[in-house]
Amino acid sequence: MADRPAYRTWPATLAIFVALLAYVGGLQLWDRLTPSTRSLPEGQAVVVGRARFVPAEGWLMNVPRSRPGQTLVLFKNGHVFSVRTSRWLGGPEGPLERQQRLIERGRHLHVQDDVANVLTDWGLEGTTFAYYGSKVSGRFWLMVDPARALVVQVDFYGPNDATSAEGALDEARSMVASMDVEAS
Amino acid sequence: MSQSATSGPTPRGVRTPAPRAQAGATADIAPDVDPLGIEPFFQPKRAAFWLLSALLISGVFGIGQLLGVGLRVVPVAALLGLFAWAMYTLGFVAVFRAMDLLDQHPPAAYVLAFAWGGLGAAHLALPANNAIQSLAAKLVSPEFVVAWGPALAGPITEEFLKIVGVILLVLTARSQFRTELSVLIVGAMAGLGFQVVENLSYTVRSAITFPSDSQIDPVFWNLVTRGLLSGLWTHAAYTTVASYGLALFLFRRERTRAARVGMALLCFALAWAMHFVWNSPWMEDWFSDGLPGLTLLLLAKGMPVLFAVALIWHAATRETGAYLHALAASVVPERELLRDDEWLCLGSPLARWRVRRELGRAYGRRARRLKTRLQREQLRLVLKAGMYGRGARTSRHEMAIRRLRAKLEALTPPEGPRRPATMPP
Repeated sequence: MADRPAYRTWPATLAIFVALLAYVGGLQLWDRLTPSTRSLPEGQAVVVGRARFVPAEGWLMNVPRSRPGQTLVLFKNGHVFSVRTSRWLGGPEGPLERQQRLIERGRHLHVQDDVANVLTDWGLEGTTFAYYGSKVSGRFWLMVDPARALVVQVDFYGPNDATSAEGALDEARSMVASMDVEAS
Repeated sequence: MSQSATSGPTPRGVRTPAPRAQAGATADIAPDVDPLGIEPFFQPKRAAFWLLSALLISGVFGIGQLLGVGLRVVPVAALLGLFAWAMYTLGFVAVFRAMDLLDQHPPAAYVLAFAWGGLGAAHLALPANNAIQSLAAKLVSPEFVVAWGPALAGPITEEFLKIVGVILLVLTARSQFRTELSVLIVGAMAGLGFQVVENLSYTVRSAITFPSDSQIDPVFWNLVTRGLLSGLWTHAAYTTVASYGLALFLFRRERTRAARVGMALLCFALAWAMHFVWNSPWMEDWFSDGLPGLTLLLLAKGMPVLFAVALIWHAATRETGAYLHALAASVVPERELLRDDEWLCLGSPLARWRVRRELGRAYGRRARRLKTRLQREQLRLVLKAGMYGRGARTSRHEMAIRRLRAKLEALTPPEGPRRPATMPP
């Protein structure tokens, strides 16, 4: 084999490294420095796909995590209230099992055994269960409507801070209670 | 000049056809044709090697975590998806191999390129894409992101990251890249790696949110829509286009540096534009919902990309063909190893395929298979002789050629097909 052709790679490599750092890191930094919340009209219902509910006072919309027609994420004092609607063509137990698996195996949190039924003020039926971890705990509501081929998933979670968590959970419950689907 | 593919060997130097002799003379003075020696991709003394390695290792952890969540939450979909996309990759590799494109480099080049696309680029693309979409939602609106987010974030981030990997590979082992085709195929593999890992990630995510209990349906749905209907004109195609710019920069030395940079930027812009149109909501209103409408939409968006990529492959193949002709004339003058008609077809995969097809029609499948192997061994001999010089590394190819030719001659009478159906220009 002939001698290795002599050439330096460090200037180009350094330029690539700086470009990658500036691009990926710079975008993340810019994103972090840009405010992400937006206030919602007080006392008025908001629509998420085919579901709607009335946000409690003081909850702000997390703009980048919300997708019109699919997901609405609200935020208050470190607590998150996320509503997601999607099509569902399977059995009524399917989303519950999958969600519990996601929480336990994907997020490494513990699901409490008792699954309770829930009925909203507008007659929407569903199930709910609590989950917890060393730093985070939350509650999940699932409303499956096979006739409408619809599932509404509400995930409420936040830090294990007893003082703020109890109040935030009450507000989350009131938001779920105000929920209905396809109301005109 | 048009010798039979199966007739007896011509003694060396008895008859030198004018074009081969001229090419040989040209090769004698062309510096590119001189065996330079070739470097492996393991280059611990080069900074590019370490940056490439560090980003690949970081990608292993990042993409591994994503896949790990999938395996824990939707294990059937994740495993089936892994299998399906692995088979899909092998399909692409088989096509590349059938076109003799994989003989341009040792396997390490393709493994590294694929790994870069699937691990390095895919891992870095995730936070960058998320940040762009998040910024667009904050600065414009969430509605804008739903429609234009993928077109805004995907092309600039992903095309940039994929081509970075190809540049790092070129920096790591510059002498591995001797033709435009050798850059293009590495670019295509990097794009394929990104495409496959992205598809796998979509499959797993789709299984987590799929509107039924089935973990198998989302795999098939993604395989059909993302693999079969979109596979030919997405990432592998875009990175091929961007890599062509890099190839032009590296090999068009007769142009000024500014012109070469301009050509590279133009190809990158073309790759970006193709990706942008693909990700944009344009033309979606023209077609109905459902699989037939989706199929037509994907074809309408994809065919121009395929056409552009075919033109680029053609141009690169011609350039590589000229290089191979000159190289073969210089390093493999023996006609029992490479006859004139075979030498003429050496640089054109299509012409070689036509020869195989004609031989197959005349003498059956076995003859065609033998001719395929013979052509591949000849290509390897020429490429390796150009890289390492004639010697121990090429002797097994020389023996294989002689063995295959003897078998082929036993199958075909001496008056066999006198010349291939089509000669390259």
